[in-house]
Amino acid sequence: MSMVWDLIVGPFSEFDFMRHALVGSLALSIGCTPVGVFLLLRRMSLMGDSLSHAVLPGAAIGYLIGGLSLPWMAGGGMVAGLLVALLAGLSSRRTRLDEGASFAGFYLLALAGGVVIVSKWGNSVDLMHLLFGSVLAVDDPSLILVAAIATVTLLWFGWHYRGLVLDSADPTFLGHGHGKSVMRYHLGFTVLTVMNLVAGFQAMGTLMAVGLMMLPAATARLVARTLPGMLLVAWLVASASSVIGLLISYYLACPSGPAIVLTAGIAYLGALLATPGQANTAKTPAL
Amino acid sequence: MIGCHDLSVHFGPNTALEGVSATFAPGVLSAVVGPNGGGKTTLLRALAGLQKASKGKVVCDGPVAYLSQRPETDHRFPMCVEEYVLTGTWRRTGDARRLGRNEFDRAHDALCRVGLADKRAQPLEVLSGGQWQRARFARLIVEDAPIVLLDEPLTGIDVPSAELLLALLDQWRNEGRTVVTVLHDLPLVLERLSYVAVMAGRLVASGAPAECLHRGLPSADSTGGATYAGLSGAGGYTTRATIATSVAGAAPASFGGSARDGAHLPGSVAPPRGGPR
Repeated sequence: MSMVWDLIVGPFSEFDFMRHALVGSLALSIGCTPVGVFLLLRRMSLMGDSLSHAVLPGAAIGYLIGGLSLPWMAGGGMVAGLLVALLAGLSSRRTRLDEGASFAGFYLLALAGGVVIVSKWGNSVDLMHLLFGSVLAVDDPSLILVAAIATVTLLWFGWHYRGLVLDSADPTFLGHGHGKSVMRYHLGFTVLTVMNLVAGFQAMGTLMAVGLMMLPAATARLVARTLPGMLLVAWLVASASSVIGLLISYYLACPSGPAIVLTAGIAYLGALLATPGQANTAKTPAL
Repeated sequence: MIGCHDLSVHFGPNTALEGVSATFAPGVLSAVVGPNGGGKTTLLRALAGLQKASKGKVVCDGPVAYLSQRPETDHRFPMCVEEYVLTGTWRRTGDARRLGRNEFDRAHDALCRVGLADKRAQPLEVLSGGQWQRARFARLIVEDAPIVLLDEPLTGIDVPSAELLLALLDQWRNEGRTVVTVLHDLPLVLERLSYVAVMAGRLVASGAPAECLHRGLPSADSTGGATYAGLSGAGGYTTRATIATSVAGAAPASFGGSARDGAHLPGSVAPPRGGPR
């Protein structure tokens, strides 16, 4: 028994970088999962994916200017992500394109731009770092950033929970009456999504950042029936995936970001297999 | 009271509403009728603040509750029926204020009234189309707004549900609320409602139903042609005869009597102004 315990705790007690990675990914789990749950419920799962790619050119430009420094890369990523969200939102409002098509257009533009910028002025190692992240290289400033973003996320969700639920389930109801504007829920949520993706791409890279967001949320949607239950299950799945994924990456010597996302993916597959046929019972009413 | 002055709504090059001025008084059941594409829904959405006016303005003297034509709630959202009905308290509670005991009681009463008390803890996705409409009525009760806008509330529901809503309308009228409802059933409008606005892209006529509706509905292109749409009864509430007998027979005299009095009074051109509110 104590040998199993040693196998689990050993890597974290022995190595500083493993502790950093653990704290970082646990903090990410706290911030990312509520965002993921609401992205899923708002049927915007792929918007998270688009935004995570949209962060790349900003982070790349930040990297070229400031090197591998957190403020530059995170700031650049924030700006690029918000810009893409803004442009896509505007184009879906002003033209006949729907939100999905607008996001697809702008994120592809941003992704291609980012890759061109890095390969022209950086090198392929930089590109790999940006695309796949390195959770084992998370340093103290990064930890503080990730923890700060998780804190802001939780506070915002705590304060705006009811409005966000209504905005997700029944936007017409929230919008009627001649009261104050309700755009703040949508805008605030978009900003939080970008913030959490920026937090995630440090550790998981732009390609994987969305994994810790959507996979636990999808698992929770299959398993839980109520919204608080979903939030709890998503958080548990994300935290467990972080611990197990880091251990797998330590013992099998594989990249840690993908190991975490793969673990969450296995939980998702398990939930899919364990809850068959539920989609058929959830018919939408005739009206 | 709710109304609009010179209200126009354009969708790109298309005009949905042109220069509509109308006032709906409190303590009166008002109907909006007209052919498909006549701008009824656009008018209600503009009154509810969901549709920006291209020109003109909307005036109202209190919070507005709005029942859209189709339920626009996400049916798959992980929420139970009671929670859905409790969302009607949003205007009073907002993000942070506590939901008091009385709000839960109000929601419970509303659910009992619409006959969904046994579905209280069920997820939203188990509701059928008609049950959805009842749940929406329950939320309207919980909203408790002095101005209520209803867009074709009787479409696609059974007779008991329709009776339930008509009883609710009469209660709201007696409480002095402003009630505006889009209807397609002209005999019902003649019988139960006391003010009507006839829409066909613009306001064609308004006043007592007996005065405005004796020639049928105008055609949608609003050229003033005499093509009577003959829409009466179309659009759902076709089992009116059943209701009429049940109102005459079993329904409490308080609302049945007053409704009939109001509806059959000939020549009441102007709507009664200045209700209890």
